[in-house]
Amino acid sequence: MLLKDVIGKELLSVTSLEGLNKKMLFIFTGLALLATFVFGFIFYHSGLTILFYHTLFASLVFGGLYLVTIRVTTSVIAIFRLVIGMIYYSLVFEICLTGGIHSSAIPLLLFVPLNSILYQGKKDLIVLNVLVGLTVFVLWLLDIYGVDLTSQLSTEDQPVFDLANYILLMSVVLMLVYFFKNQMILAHMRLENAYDDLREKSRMLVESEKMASLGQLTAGIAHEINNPVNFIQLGITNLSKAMEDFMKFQQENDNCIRDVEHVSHTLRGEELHAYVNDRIELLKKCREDIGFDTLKEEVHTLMESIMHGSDRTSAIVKGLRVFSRMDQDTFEDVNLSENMNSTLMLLKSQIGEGIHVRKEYKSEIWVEGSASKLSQVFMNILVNAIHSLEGRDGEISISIDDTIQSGFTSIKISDTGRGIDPQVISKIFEPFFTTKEVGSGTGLGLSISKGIIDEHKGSISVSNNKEKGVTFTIELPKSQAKNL
Amino acid sequence: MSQARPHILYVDDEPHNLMMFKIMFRRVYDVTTATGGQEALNEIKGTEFDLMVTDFKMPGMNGLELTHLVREIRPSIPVIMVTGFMGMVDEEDIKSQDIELISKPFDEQTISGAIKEALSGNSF
Repeated sequence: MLLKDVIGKELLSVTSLEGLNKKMLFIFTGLALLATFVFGFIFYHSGLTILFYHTLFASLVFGGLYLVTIRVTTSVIAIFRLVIGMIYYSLVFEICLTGGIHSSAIPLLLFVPLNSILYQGKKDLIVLNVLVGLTVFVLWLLDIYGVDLTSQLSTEDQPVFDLANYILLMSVVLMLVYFFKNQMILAHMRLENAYDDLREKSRMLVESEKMASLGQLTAGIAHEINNPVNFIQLGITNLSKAMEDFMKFQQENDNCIRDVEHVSHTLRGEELHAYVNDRIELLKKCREDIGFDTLKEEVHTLMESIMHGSDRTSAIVKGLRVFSRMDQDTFEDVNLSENMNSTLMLLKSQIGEGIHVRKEYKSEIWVEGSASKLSQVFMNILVNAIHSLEGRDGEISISIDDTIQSGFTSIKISDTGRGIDPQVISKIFEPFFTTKEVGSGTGLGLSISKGIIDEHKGSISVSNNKEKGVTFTIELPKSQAKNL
Repeated sequence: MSQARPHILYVDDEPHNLMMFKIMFRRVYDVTTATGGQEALNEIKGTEFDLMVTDFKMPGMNGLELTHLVREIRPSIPVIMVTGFMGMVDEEDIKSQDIELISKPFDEQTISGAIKEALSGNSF
């Protein structure tokens, strides 16, 4: 299941529960109980004391309320509890309305412990359940011993209407109210948990999106820096080896001078000449051995390479300045062109050689904003463009136009990729919307980008190109200071 | 009698790396360089190399794809692969294919140690 579906479901359950606030549930429960009472009374007096009516009515009321408060559930124990509850309350109502203590008391008393077990440690409900059981038990005993409370309390003028049964009914009403109050508290808790969960999940997603751009950034930097560092490192090793060879030759030279000086005092004429010639030959051989001329050329090449490597690394580090204040919210004047170039540099490793990047913008275009956040937006759009090309050859063109007279600078980034399905193009800036496979995209990149552009009081939109690919258009307010 | 010098093919899309490698080992090995997969394959067809050292991430064909193609021609050639990020490749998978992995940037000791080992090892 996609992450956004999970989140969607959570949202759905939150919104559906939100409609049922506490007050409404109280009113609903109260009305249902009143209806039970009134209808029970009518049934009783109209002589329709058929078990079927009572059972059906009590079951419907109880089952309906149960379903409303806890929603349809797939938990086996909850369904079991619902069935047991329906039978249990039917029996209670049966006794209340018909006074048929004899027929219903025993099965009802059997249900009391079972019901208590099913309440799974909810003490107050168990106590009420046991109280109902005790009331039934007492009424049953009274009935067995022939004590009729109703006739004892009744007078000729004011007959008391089946008092015992109404005592029982009231205790059941009390229990039901208590039960539904608990259900509502549970529903409220579930709502709160779902909300907390949702908040935590969205926080984690935003964080993971940040980490994803950080990952892209570091991968880009690592790749760009790796090669120059590698050849600088090897270059220095090579240079020091060359240096050793030079030193060896230098040593030979020194030895030679010393020897010649030494013999010049003792040797004369031909002998000295032969000695010097011999030494010169030795030096020539040494020079040849170390490959002096090759070495000299090599040293030049090595130096150039090392210089090139250090220039490249320092250019990369300079480009990183854009990201050095990633979390800063203050706005400053940002050179969009420099910002775009730095972003492209970091994505160099991802832009294959088959992708041609066409840049149409001058070297200085100023807007007011956060350099790192704008770069994050460009990176998001560019990475999407690279992905939409799916390794095929193609073109990404970037144009920035600040000549329009609306006070806005317009940035257009288009690709020649697969484009966006017209049916989903309107959803592209929605959070959690992604066309990528599970795990490869959070679906937050573009919604965060939209948030960033909104923060800059700009606008962002996307449309499919006539031929292929898409164009993202971003408009940002021009820098006030720089455009005076 | 001196033995023939081992002949190494080094493949990397960064010319500076190729040059450094060539200079570093010119005294001990014959080094031929190639800037990409296709060039390397052309070299392999004509010459019997004792070892191939290749970069992993290269435009067009990566080091692993190149190794597969090279081994179709020279099944027994030892291969050392150099990669910028270990995280980008499946280390276990690569090692199981009898390819030695080295991370970039590398120093002389690491690369020359690996080369010596690869050259002395029994190739299948």
